Amino acid sequence: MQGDTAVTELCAAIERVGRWRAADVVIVGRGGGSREDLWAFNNERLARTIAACPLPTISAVGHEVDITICDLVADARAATPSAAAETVVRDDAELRAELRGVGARLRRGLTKRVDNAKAELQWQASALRNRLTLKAERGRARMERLGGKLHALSPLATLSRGYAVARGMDGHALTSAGDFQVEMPFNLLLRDGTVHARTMKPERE
Amino acid sequence: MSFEQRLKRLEQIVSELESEQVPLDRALALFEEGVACLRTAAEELGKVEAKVQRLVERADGSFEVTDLRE
Repeated sequence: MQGDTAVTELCAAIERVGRWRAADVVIVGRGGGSREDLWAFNNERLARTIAACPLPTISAVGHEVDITICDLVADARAATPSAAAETVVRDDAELRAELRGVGARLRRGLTKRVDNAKAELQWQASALRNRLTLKAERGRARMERLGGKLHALSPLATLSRGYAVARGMDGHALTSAGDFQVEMPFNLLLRDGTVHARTMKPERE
Repeated sequence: MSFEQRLKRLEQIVSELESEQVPLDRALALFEEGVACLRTAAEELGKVEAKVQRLVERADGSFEVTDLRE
């Protein structure tokens, strides 16, 4: 940037970028050259234009030793235009690391959701299992209690004490002498088996 | 007849046998029915228990959700 028109052109360019608003940052740079060129950057009008710019500004005008007014009014100062660009653009490795971090968080979140669902499923399965087992156990307990009662009430229990039950061929109990006729076949139920018998002579008392 | 219905019938039989008035004839018939009822119920329950056992074993073995970590 050299010559008398430098200030006017610089101001116009900065204002244009400011109006455009699509830029993230404005870098005011100078490629190098004689010491007199720097005077354009000590111009008051340019300094005011930079200060008024609605976007963040970086001044990359001189070298380490050449500080201009532009350097002082800009939001940041860089030694060279390249250095200014490096400040603005984020490091590739840094970006990658951040992406990896986000990826890891996403994965952790998903894994957690799946783990939770898995735990819930297993809990439900064991609840179902317990309920089924409990139902079967209760059924068995009730059945065994009834079986015990039934056997305690067995009309055949007396047989073990030496009694016998006489039953007709149709299975009906013969409990009276009047139930028997001469030569009538019947069964005698005993402790350890049945005796097939025939009436000889019924006698009523 | 379901398992529960059989147990209900068994309860009726037991309570009828418990009343002193039941004649020997009736008592014998009830007892025989009760024994048959009990035997069938025990068989059915055994089958159900075996089925539950199989389901439980399968549930234990196959409840592996594929891991998304890798």
